[in-house]
Amino acid sequence: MLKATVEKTPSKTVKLLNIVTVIVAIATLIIMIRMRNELHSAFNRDPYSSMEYSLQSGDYADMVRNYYYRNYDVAPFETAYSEEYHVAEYADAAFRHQFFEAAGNENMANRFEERMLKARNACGPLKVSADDIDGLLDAIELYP
Amino acid sequence: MKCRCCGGEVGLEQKYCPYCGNANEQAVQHYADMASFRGRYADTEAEVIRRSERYARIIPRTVIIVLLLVAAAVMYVITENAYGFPELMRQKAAEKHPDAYMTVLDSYLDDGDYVAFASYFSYNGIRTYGTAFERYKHVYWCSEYYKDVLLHTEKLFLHSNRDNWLKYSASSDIRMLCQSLEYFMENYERGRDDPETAEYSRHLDEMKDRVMDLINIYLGIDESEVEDFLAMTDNRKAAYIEEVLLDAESDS
Repeated sequence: MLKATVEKTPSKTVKLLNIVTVIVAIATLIIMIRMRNELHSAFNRDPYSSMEYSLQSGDYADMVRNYYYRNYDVAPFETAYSEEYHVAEYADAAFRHQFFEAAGNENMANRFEERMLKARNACGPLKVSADDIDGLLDAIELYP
Repeated sequence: MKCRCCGGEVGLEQKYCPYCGNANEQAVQHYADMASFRGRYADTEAEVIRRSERYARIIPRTVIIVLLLVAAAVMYVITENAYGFPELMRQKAAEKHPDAYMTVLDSYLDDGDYVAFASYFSYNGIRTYGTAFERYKHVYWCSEYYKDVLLHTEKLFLHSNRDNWLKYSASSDIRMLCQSLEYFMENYERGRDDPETAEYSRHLDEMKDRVMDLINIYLGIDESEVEDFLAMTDNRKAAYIEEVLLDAESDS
């Protein structure tokens, strides 16, 4: 009986598949790392991070827009931008206090006045921004 | 079998006749055939082993590549939708415990805090159609646009760098305020016309009163003028509000 001869050296196809496997494995690893980073950002995103820039450009209204984002979490949300957060809170409360006072809604005006005072005390070194907001509101000409 | 020469009995594997000693041609042929068969068998065996070893190396690699590609595709889809997952989870939580969420929503409505109501609703991704929250649909949409009108009005005034704002962003902010006002009025009319949500009519009316007060106090537009104002073209609306703002600037 003739001895069976077996191909010992890998064929071109096998070599090509080895290269493709390595490339696809590296790409999958990269995608996996990106997925992990995106999921981490999504679940741990600080929505108040853009407030710093808005504050620098004096755009208090933009800060207010972000202010509401996680206000209604079940558990309290901690942020590294707590002072900027309170400036946004002050801007919104001050505007709404002014509005409700001008509209004659005493109940709501008092509620927002309380919120204003609390927010101002929590602004820390950013109280100067609260003063700036007061100046902007004082400059508004309200119609009777 | 019989010998061709002497007719004696001879076996197929006997190369020579045991009686006359002549060569057994049939045995010679038999041996030649067997050698040929064995050769072909060995070649076939070698070919089968070679091919199976080759496929044994190709198939697992191909399966690994396909699995990696599927995993990469799934992870890519997850990555592209990552920011939607927290809201999806909150949405599922709200649909699982609607009573608890409705208690919170009703408390915001009773307090008259429509901004908080709208924010809580949209932050938790609560859907108004086909869920237990359907009864809030009109009040939610009205509160959402009420919040937009309020925030866009704040946008007109709460800027330190007003020159910059007037130059670059004022027209788009004014346009968004007008759009929010229009959508608010549409949703208000729709809500008031729907008898199924009559229990929330007073909240709709309250929001409307506040919106009218807001645009009256800050933009000088009376309730009777709102319809005419909304009927203007976008450019005329923008020009009207810019004039109001610039007049306010020059007076101060």
